[in-house]
Amino acid sequence: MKIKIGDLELKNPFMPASGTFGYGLEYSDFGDLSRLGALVTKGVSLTPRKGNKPPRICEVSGGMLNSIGLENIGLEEFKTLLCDLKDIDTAIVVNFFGNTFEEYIELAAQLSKQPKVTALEMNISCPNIKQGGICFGTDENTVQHLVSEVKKVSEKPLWVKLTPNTGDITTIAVAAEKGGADAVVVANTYLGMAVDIKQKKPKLANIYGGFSGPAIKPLTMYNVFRCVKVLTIPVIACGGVTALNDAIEYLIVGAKAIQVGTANFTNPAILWELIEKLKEYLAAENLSIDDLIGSLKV
Amino acid sequence: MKLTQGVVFNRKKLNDKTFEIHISLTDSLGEFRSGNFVMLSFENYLTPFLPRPFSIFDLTGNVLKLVFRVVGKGTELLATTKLPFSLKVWGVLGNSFPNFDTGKNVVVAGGLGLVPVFSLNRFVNIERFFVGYKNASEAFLLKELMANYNLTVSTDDGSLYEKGFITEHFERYLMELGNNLLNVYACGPEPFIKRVYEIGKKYNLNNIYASFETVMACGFGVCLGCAVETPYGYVKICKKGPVFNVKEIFG
Repeated sequence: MKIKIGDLELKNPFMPASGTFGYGLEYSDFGDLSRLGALVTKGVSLTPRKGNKPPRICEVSGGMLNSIGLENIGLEEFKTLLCDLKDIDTAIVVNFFGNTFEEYIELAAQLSKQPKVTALEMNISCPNIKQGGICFGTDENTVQHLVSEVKKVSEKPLWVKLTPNTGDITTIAVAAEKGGADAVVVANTYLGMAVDIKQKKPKLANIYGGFSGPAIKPLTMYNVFRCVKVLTIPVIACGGVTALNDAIEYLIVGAKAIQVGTANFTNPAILWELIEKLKEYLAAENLSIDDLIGSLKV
Repeated sequence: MKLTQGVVFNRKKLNDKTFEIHISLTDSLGEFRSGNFVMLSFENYLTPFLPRPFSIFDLTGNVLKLVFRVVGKGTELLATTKLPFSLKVWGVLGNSFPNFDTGKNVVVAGGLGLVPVFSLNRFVNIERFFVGYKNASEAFLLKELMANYNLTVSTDDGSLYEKGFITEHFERYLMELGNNLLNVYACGPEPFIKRVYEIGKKYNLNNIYASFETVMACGFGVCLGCAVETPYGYVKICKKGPVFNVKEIFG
């Protein structure tokens, strides 16, 4: 079940989505982390962030909303924590984000020097505070420029995690490819909102948050389909996978790998179950994973 | 922490909206102490979607017992789904109520808040147990409490035993006691815990430990959704708690 994301070979196509798996070790009671295709760590920023005011999560039909606010321990503590992952024998992909170009570049430069880091995943769904808070990931020129600047300082493969909250995601995907991205992750959460009808107040203190879970799968499926058509670099699908069939659908559409997010909360062993089930499926169907990837008939 | 399959095989109605369920676990989750909790996840459900935290009422061998009140879709399913039915269960999660070397130990519980403190006498010696219910029809587990504890019961409307908030009876007890060598274990809705905290402040009690609840998606410190705001910053209920000295939460 080995797959390749650019030059990087992964044991299998399954990995957690950043932010739903902590820094990895939290899940070691549920399975052997070394068996995962990759371990994608929680988004890290240059300095620690305390996150948003609670309530930060709420359930909606077929999923959840979150406005955690990218709470994290910051780069320095993260570097120490990387030592705890030294015995994990799989690709360590570090998700990172900034609020300025300079922050992104500084983070990429420092993270790429860490020997335990296999690849970087750049979250571009953040507001650019020097540009009036406009999200980095919604402007093609910004994305191309940011990716190319980060590539200059990073020795490691760079994956760009796209936001679906933009006019045309394929324009942004192409900009990331032109900038030199090694892969794109399609996609981050969809902005959403829920209201407590008794209190007549938003259910999240931040008013809105990221919508994730099985309900978003058809939206992301279409985005993956469109991105695969216009890109030459690999697409990693991320959105609403809770069962093997969801993953197979994404592979058929052309995704090279699958990130599992919210389902890690509803079944903490899901990644290991998916690895086993896909293996069984491929054997039963007498298929290789490469036969499956991009086999969509339209 | 372990993840296992559970089969709900028995269900008792304790009052109009409160139920006790017994879950047979494929693998044992180990031992528990009062205050620990588990997460339950309905498989293949879109609503309810997220797992739910439940205080452990009892965990002996491979049988987990939970007591809950029907408050939403998840608890309604637990109360109405035809037996037997299966769930995913993980735990044992969170911290537990501490032991103290000196002083008398007293419990103050409001309504469903008695679940996490119900078994405390297995781990510590309890001098008095105060429990309050809204009214007679909302009382539950009274017989069992009476058999095990030196009990004071009140209802807000006086329909059963003493009239008034149980926190008032607790305060009266403190006045009569006349010293602050007391350790308090509390659980109930947040305004209830806050009232216990205020009374404790008035009588200079240092050891008031309460179990707090909030919405959470994982139960083991990953989702960061269970943060609550305290004077000392955001605190994650699942990982650092759910049992806290009330001063850590209220200041």
